Amino acid sequence: MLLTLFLLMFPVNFNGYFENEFFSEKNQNPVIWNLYNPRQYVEFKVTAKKRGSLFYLSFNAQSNSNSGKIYFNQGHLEYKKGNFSYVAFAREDRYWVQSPILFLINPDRVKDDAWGVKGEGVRMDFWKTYGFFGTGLVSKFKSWDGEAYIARMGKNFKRFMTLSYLYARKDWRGSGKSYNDINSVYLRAHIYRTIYLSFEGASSRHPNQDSLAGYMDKSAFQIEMRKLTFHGLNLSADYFNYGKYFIDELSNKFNPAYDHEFGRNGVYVEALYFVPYKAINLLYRFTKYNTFYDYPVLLNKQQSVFSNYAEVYTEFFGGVSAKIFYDQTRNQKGDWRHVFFQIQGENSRMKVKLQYKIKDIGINKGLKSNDFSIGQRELLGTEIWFNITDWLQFYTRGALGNGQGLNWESYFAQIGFRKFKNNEIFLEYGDPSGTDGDIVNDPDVADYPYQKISDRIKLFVKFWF
Amino acid sequence: MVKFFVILLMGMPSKGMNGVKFTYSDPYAKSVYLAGDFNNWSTDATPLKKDKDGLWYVVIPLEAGKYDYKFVVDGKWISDPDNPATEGPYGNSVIKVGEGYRVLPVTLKGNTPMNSVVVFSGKVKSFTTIDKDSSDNRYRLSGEQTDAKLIINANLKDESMLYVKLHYNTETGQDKVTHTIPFYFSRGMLTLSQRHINFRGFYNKFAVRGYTPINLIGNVNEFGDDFGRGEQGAFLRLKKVLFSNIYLLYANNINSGEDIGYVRLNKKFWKFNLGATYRINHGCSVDYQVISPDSETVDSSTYLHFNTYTDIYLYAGDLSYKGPVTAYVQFLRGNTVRRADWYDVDGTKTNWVQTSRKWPRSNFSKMRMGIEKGGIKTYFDLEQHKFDRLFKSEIGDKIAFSTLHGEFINPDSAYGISISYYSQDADSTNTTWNALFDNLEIARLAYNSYPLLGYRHRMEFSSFVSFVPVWRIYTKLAFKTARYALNQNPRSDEIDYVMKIPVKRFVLSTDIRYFHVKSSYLKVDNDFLDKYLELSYNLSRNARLLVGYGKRPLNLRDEYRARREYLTDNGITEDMLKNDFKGLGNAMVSGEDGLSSIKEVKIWAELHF
Repeated sequence: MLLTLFLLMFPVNFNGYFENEFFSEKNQNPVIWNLYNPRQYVEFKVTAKKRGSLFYLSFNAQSNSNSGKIYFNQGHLEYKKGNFSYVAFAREDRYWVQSPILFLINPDRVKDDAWGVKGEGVRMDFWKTYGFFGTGLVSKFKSWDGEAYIARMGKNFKRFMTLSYLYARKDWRGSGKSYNDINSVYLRAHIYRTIYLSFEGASSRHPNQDSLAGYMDKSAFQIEMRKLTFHGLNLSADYFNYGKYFIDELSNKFNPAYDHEFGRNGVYVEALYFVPYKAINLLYRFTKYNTFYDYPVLLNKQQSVFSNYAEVYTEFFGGVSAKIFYDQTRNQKGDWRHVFFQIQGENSRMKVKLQYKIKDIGINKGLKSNDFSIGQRELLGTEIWFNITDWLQFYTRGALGNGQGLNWESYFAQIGFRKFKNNEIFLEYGDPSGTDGDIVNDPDVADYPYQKISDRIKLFVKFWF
Repeated sequence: MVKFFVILLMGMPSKGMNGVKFTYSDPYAKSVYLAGDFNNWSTDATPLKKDKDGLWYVVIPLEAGKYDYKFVVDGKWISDPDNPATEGPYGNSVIKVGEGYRVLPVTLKGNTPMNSVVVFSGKVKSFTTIDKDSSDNRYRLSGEQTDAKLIINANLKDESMLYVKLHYNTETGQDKVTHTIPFYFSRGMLTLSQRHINFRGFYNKFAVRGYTPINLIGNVNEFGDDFGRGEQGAFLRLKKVLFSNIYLLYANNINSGEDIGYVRLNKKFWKFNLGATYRINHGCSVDYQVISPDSETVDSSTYLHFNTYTDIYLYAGDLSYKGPVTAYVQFLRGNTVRRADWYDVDGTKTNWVQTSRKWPRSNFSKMRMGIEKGGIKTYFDLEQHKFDRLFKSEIGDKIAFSTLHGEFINPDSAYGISISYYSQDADSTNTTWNALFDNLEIARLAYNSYPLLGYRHRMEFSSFVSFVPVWRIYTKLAFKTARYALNQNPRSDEIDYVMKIPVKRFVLSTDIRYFHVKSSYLKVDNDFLDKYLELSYNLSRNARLLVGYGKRPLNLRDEYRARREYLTDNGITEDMLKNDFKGLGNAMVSGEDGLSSIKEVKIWAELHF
């Protein structure tokens, strides 16, 4: 009914997208090079626009899923006027709320705990209204029963200071205290020339918190100084203290199911030096913190963890650049050191990247699956873009691994064909997932010594109108 | 006409030998004319001829250019239903012709302000039924049901075209929890063309017409005349590459998962055409379900399930000559690797038992030689399998002989003869009693073989007479009798009487069919008399209202028709019957519609847009 009303009231646009995918993989007998069930995907988009209002809906269907039944894909109704916007949305990624230092809000946790965007919600923003800004967001989870409420409001005091307050709450159905809420304050002050000083502090309530825990155990704060510059040297420093029971289920950082960084205090220092008159950057990062956890075990005595990162980046004539870094982390499980070299060349016709990395230097552990590391290994990777013509491109990426008596490899190649209007065709060989996180820095190839080249071919044909 | 090497878009006018071929399918039409720019829109200058399948056709030589046209069917103007390209206020069909009668794709303008390249079209059918309730013998009105088909064509340029068909049916239900609506992605095709390249990605839509030597093997003729329905895949044609035309096809059967790969090279020189083809049917998996002959009851536990996996490899070569006479020779060699898993019930009929068997590799070869002149085709086939040999010859599309010898044949040899007579008087509007037997198929004796399951072969005799319309009243009388050569011989006899009476905008039609089916295998010995009466009113060219009474006779194969009554007598509902029939072949396509119309009174409205 609502849809019909909008379609009648507003000028409507109709667009779409269609994709053929054919996939064949080499298997063992009896069927070698089996052609898997092809996929035909179709998507329709309806947009209605009038003045500040926008109504958008999209639907999709997939031939190899649910007999080609058409699904509601995503949609929203948006209203904008001046410095104000309101949007009601379903299955869309509109959950970003700023928490600059502690990262208290992660959009993936707000939309739903299940994979993919499934939730729906409403959001309101205003900005530059007498120096005030604010956000209100309500998210309703769809894959399980629960909601998230987030409100943030603040004021910019010209260029000198920003002050804001954030309240976030996650509700679920259950007996007793079945919510987790966060109160947070953020302050950013411009001190001198380019120097900024920031503070963000938060406290939480959660049913898992120890009832005997003190206020500081349920709080977290971080102080940050940025851009202390001195003749090309750029310094930044942080001090942080995260309480043992500071739990925020709307974040990744303080979420027991994800990064569980609570129970830490320490410092972070970064120095960046631009060598005068040379295209050379030197970067050094240092982190040291004490932690109460060898997660999930709560320790009797705090343990220290520190990490060093040093990088040299330089650019040469002719589009050639090089990067070298050394990375070290020492924690309760061991001392992890890596060294990385990269050289890259680029012109209008092609781009080539070569990488070499030695990971877990000096570690010589067995290759049992329960070991924390597979031991020292060397990784060699390459990535090549080649424009054969204006409409025909070749792309390839691969990596070789060697260590502890094993050799492994990952390879992916793609030919892109863009001869037809509004259309792209790709022919692919191999599995791209092994090296898609910056080739040798991807854990799939760096930490898994049994990677083999997948004998598989994929053809994609994409078309939109 | 030699059709061997032509691969065209389905339904559209196509390139013929001496011009562009226009076709219109309507077996009930009495006269069809082609009118357009090329004949000054004359309504009687270009008549179409009807072939024995009810397809009207004409080939006319056209210069390169763009033409508007329409068909005049029984005096009414009709746009070409197979050609999506229309223009102008009257919806004229459009065709673009290149050099050598080549038919080129036409860019369509959008018919909606929502997108300048999108053309919407479709069909809506809404109906309700009044059924006699068996419990209290009263007529009851069922809920309204709607079936809608929406076609979206997006035509970017001459080179790119997208076709998507969506299907809506209230019977499929709506799921509010998962945001689904009862709309389904039913068919789709993406066409990309440039000078030397033609690509088609298709889903459940006729995409390729392949008259190639590939359809010479009787049991693997999926790639026959029209290919693409029930399949999904990609087709690529490269012209003038490596001094020849190259055709590549990959298709996957939506139901069985069977893959077909196909490569063909084709080179023309002077009046000769030389071709080489390789085809592979791969990983074929077909789930057959049949009722166990031993079972006393009919439910899911008494089915026998067969899963067969077949790999077929074919190599073929062909040479043809087109001159005053067309002559061709085709040679094909291939082999089959077949494996089957089947499930059976054990003695207690409660546990499934899985068995597997792999047949030895089976080689076969086939040769066809033929000659054509003046529309008269004559050919003979020689087919050699591991255990049997087939010889077949067809002369002038009228008479066919075949013999089959082999170890698996019972009796050891089988012979078939098919004689058909078919003629059409082009000027059939002259109603005289002399033309009473105008469309007469006097005899047809056909031979079929079903290699794995079901009937080994059958004999069938059928004839029909279609009377020349008298006072616009169309009448047809058909007779068929068939005998199936298996131990539990079924037999069927059928008489069908069809009449259509148009009165202004009303059309009254009736279809009365008697059939008798007997089969010990299917446990039936039944007589059926289906009577159907329908009154329709044409609101406009695009819309009509209909009222139907009785049972519309089903165009099912005999075995399914027989089983229909048997199963319903044993408490199997129509829904179960429809599900059982899904995926069992083309017979079901017509069968499903027929089954849903087994009602007393049905009222429905149809709208085409």
